[in-house]
Amino acid sequence: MRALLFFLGSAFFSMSFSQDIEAGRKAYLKYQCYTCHGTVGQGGERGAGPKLAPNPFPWEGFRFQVRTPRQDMPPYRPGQLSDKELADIYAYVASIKPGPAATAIPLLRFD
Amino acid sequence: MSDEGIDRRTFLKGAAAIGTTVAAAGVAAQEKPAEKSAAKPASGDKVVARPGSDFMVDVIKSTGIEFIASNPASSFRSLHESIVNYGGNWKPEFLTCMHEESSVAMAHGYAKAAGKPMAILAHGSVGLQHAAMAVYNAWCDRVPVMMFAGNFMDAASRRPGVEWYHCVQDPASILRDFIKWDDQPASLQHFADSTIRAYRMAMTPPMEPVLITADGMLQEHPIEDEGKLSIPKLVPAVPPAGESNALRVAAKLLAGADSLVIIADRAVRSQDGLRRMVELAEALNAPVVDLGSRMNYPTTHYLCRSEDRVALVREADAVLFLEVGDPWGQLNTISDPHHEYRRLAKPDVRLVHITLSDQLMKSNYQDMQRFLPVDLSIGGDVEATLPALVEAVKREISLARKAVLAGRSDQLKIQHRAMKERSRAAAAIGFDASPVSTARLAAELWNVLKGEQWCLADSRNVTWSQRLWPAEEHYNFLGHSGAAGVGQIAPAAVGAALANRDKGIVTAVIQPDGDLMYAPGVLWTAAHHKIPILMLMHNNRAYHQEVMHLQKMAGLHNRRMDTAKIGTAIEDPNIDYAKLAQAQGVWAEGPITNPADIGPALRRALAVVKRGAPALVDVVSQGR
Repeated sequence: MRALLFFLGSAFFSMSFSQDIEAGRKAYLKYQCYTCHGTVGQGGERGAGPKLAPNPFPWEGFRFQVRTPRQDMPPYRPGQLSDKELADIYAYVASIKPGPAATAIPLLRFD
Repeated sequence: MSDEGIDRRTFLKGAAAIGTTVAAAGVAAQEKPAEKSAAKPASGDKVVARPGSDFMVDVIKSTGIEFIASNPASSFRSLHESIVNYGGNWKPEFLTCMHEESSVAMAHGYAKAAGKPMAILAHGSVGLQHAAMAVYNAWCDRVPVMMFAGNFMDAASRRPGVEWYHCVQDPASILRDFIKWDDQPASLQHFADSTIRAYRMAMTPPMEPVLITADGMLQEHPIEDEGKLSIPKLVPAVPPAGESNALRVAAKLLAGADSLVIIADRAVRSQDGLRRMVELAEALNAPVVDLGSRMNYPTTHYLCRSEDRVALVREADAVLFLEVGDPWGQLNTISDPHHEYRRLAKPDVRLVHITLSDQLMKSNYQDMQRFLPVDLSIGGDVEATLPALVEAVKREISLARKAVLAGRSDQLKIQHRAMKERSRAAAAIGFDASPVSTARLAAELWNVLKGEQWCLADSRNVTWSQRLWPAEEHYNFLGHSGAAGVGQIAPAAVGAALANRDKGIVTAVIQPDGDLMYAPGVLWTAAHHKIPILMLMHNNRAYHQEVMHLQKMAGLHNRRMDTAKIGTAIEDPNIDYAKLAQAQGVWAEGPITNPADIGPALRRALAVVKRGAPALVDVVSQGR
C-alpha cells in the first residue's frame, strides 16, 4: 500500500512540475530546511527533525506536512515559499541517493 | 576579576610617604640613637606570621579537597597567599581560571568525575555575579561544589574605592535560591564549624553547591589564641534510603506489572550502583530508559532501551521513575511552537517514583518541572535504596512469575538489537557529508577512544554516543549541564579531565562552538595546568537551537523564513578554533571540512592527550 501511494504520489508530482534539482538544492539551503533535517536530508538528532532522504515520503504527504505541519515544525506557507520552490525542494530531496549501508561502514561497527 | 585595590597615583603617593618616613626615621636615628628602640615601628615592619587564612587552609585541607579553582581577587588575597605559601599549593592546589563561571563549571565537571567536590574562590560581589549561572547549572544537576567568597564585612576597615564596590552585606543573597546552604562566619572557629557542616551538606544526597564567606579581616588578621581553635571531624552522612514498607508495596506493584518500564535520570554515581541497576532490571526483566543525566545503565545490556522511550511509555501499565528530573515530561508532550498537549501514557498507568526532589525544593527558580501525581512516591536516594528494592522485588516474585518474566527475554533481546540497528542505520545516512554529520563526529571519536578507558564529559549535546557506543562503566557518560545554561560544557569537561587525569581515563568532549566562546580562557587553564582533554569541536557556526527557534517563530507569524540566521549564526567571519586554542598553548588542528581527515587528526590529538596535555580538533559540522 505504501509503495502504491509512493508510486501514485511520485507520478502526480512528475506530471505536475518540472523537476529542477539544483534550484531545489538552493531553495533547501535558502529556506534553511537543513537546520533541522541536515544538508543531505539525513535528519537532525535530539528531535530536531526527521530524515527526509533517501526515499522521501510521497509528494502529497510532503507538501501537506510543509504547508500544515504536525508537531514541532513551522509552517511554510505559499506567501513565504512558492509552490514551485516547494516542488523543487522535493525534487532535490528525492534526488539524494542512498549512501553505503551501516553494515558497509567500518566506523559504524561498535560491538 | 583581578583588581589592584589601589590606583597608580595612590600607590606613588604611598611610596613617597613611606620614603619620607624612612628618611625621617634615618635623620631621627642619627640625632637620637638611644630613642630608636622606643619609637613606634613603621607599618612596613609589621609581620603577621600566622594569619587567620592559614587556619582556613588547615580547615580546607582537613576536608581532603584537592583543588581550588579561582580567578584571583583582592577580597581573598590572604587566603590565596596562605594556600600557595603556607599550604604549599598542594591539596588544595590553586587552579588559575579566567572567569568565575569557568571556576564553578570546572568544579561541576570535576565533582561528577571524581565523586567529591572541588572548591572555588570568588569575590563575594562581582565574582559570585560572574559565577551565578554556573552555580545554577550545578544546582539543577544536583552536583556538590564548595564555594568560598571573599568579603570585608567591617566597613570601617575597608580601603576606600574598589574595595567598597567589591563588598556586600550578604554575599550569598545572589545565589541563595539555588544553593543548599551558606554561612558568613564571624570567627575562625565559626569558619571551621561551618565549612565542615557545608561540606557534609553538599555531599549528602541530594548533593548541591554550598557557599562559605571568608571575611577579609578574619583572613588577614593574626590568629588569636590558636590553642582554643579546633577543626571538627568530617563524618559523611549516610545517604537517606527509601522506607522498607514502602519498598515492599512498590515491589509488589512492579513485580505484578505486565508492561513495566524503568526510567532513570540521576540514579547512579558508582559502578556498584550500575551493577544494582542491572540486578533490578533483570529481576523484573523490564526495559530501562536511561535519560542520561548520569550513566545509569550499560548500553550493551539487552534491557537498555533508551531510544524506545515513547513506544515503551505508550504501552506501559507501570513506570518506575528513578530520580527523574521531569517525570511529567516522560508521559506527556507539548508541541512547539503550537503548544498542543498530548498524553503519551495510558490514563491508568501506575507510577512509582524514588526521589529526593521533595527534600530540596525552592520556589523561585522552576527547576522542579511540572507536578506529576504518582501512586507511590518514596523519598530516598536511589543508590542507597537499590539494594533493599532489589531484595524486595526478588522476594515478591514467585517461581511461576519468574518463569513468565524469563519468557520475555528472547523478545526483549530482539527489540534491543533492533533499536541498535536502527541507530546505526540512521547514523549511516549522510555519513560522508560535508559539513560533517554529528553521527560521523561520534563515530570518529569512538574509533580513537575504543581502546582506552574513556569518559565523555558531556553526553547530551550529541546523543549519538549514547545511542551507538558500548558503555559499561559508570564514568563513561557524565550527562549534561543541568540547566542548559550555555558556556558550561568546555569548563566542565576540563574539570572532569582533571579528575580523571591520574586514573588513566581519557576524557573527551564533543564541544559546541557557541558554548566554547562564552569563556574560551578555560583552554589556557587546561594548558597551564596540563589537563589532558580531547576536545572535538562540533562547529556548526551558530547558536543552532536558536536558529530553529527563529524559524518556528517566522512560521508562526507567517513571515519570511530565510532570515533565521540573523542574530544566531557565528559566521562572517568564521572563528578559527584551532588558532584560538593554539594562542593559549593548546595543540590544535582544523578547521576540518572533509570527514576523511578527522580520524588522522584525532589520532594525533590523542597522542598529545596521552602525553598529558590538552588537544583540540576543529570540525565544521552539521547543525544537529
